[in-house]
Amino acid sequence: MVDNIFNSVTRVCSTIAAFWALALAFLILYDITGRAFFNSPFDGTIEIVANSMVSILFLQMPYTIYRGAHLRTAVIYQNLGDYGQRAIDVIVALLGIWFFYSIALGGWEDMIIGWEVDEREGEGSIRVPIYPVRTLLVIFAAISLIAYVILGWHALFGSRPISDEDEAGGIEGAKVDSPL
Amino acid sequence: MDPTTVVILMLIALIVMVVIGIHIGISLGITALVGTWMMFGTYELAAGQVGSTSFFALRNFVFAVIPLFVLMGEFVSRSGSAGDLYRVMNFAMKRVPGRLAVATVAGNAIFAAVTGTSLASAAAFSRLAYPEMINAGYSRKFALGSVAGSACLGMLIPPSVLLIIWGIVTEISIGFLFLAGILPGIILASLMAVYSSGTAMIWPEVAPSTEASGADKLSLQEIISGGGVIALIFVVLGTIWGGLTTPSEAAAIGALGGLILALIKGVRWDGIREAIIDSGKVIAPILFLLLTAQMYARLLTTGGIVGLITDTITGSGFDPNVAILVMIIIWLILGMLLDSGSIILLTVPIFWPIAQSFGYNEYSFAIIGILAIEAGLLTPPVGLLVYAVKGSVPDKSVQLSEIFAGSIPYWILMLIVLGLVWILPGLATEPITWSTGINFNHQIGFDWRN
Repeated sequence: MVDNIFNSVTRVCSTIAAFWALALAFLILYDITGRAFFNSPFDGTIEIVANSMVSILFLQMPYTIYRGAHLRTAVIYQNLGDYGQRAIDVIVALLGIWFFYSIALGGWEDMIIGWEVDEREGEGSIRVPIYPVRTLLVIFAAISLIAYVILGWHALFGSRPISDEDEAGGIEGAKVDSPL
Repeated sequence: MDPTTVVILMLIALIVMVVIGIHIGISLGITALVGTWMMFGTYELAAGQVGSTSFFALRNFVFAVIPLFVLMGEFVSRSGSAGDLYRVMNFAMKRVPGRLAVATVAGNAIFAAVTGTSLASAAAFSRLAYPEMINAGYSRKFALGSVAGSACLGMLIPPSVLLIIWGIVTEISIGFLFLAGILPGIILASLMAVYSSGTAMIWPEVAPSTEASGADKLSLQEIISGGGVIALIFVVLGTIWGGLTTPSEAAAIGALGGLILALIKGVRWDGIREAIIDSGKVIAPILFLLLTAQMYARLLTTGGIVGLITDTITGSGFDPNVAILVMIIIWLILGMLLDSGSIILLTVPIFWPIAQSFGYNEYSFAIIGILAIEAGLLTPPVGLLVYAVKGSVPDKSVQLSEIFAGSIPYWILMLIVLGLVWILPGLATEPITWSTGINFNHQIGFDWRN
């Protein structure tokens, strides 16, 4: 139940971020075309893209964590038995919880100040507001923390989060297990 | 606590965490958090540091190259263009001995360049090229080696994810790095093709000639799609080469080009949506590593460890070439254990300042590093490419040991090109000079301009 809701909600966020990345491609193309042929670049492209990178990463973070897509070294891990792997997974979860708690804690005050002073960035006509990005960072650091809580729970009690096999559809083409 | 002691403790903790299988991003982030806490004595300050780095580290236009190139790769992978590209290459290699293997090398060089990751390429060609080679009577070891070995080209031939990560970690121009990868990439691809063809000529039983293979005619569809992939790579690299766009802008063009290619190939909304969603599973882990790597780099700088190591090594009268050799050996060993991106993040912040203090050129050094690290993808026990091939070949009786054995010649070729760039650093920097007119003075290796 918790797994299904968390998986669905975080997948929606991750999908929004991925479409956002594609939208950036269109924005950049619009900027290049405007600059090259009409001598009118789209002001604020650089600021929008730069702030989008933080947002895209944090929107995708909880789903990436939950689905176990973060990189790890398997040399020892894959040769451990069930208990060994679960022990490592519990440690990963605890460290993950602590790390994202620290990010949320560290970002909190800057977020409050950002709201108070209406923090913006950029020159000229378009001044991109930054405080929404700071807010998004704190919220999604907290959701990432929850992802590690769920994973830690599964590791502790030997159950399994939702995986690709559970949802295997007709995926064609090359399937990449690791990004590098 | 003394900053240097803290950093050394944290380095040890980092290595232990990475080896036992803690997520690499978390390992980097936690060591930065704990290290800063130990140095300054307050947790709130350390958390503040981690929080503000999370916000500032990725806020740069240059990071857009990653999601955009990943999107381009996803679209092209899903379009099924790999198969068309392979048939176009196979057609072009009609009269070449060992043509199926040579076409695999050529197809991989282009396809891996477009997708930017070797693993997707190895997976695609395991399904496409391996069965054809086996049907034509090629030896299994030879066929598997050509698929796994040539997939390594993707990390060297731009645009490559590893070159992007290297550029971000060392804060040098990603556009220039792409240019630096071109000549060594072409040389490596040519050597691989010569090896495949030469083997077929000397030992025809390993790779019999295939007159009657069904690749004598190409359909219009195959030409458009195979040619489309080649055109895409030329547009992306050409605009960077000509100084018309930054790498991020070229990546945007590439992503939309990939989308168009996928639409032409008949991929519909469901496929496009799947490609976009899947891209997230690749983008977020890379961006997360880059984010936490900056936290770790900040800890190294605060602890003054990099200066200390650099001073010790340069002050000890070490020969620059010996120092580079030691680094290469460390990379080759790490390459057997870790994935390429993590190796760059862990070692380059320390290795690059040392090489820089010896007067090594940043672009030649990067190419040497990428070649050494990438060679590790083919070596036991963790050669990721070998596992990717094993996981994707339709023939389930294939053994890992066969793939490792077949890859050895390719591994040697990579080391040969590594040696060439070491001796002739201009191989990396010359295209930058052609493109921009900037001249580089090489203090290590042979410089043909002096």
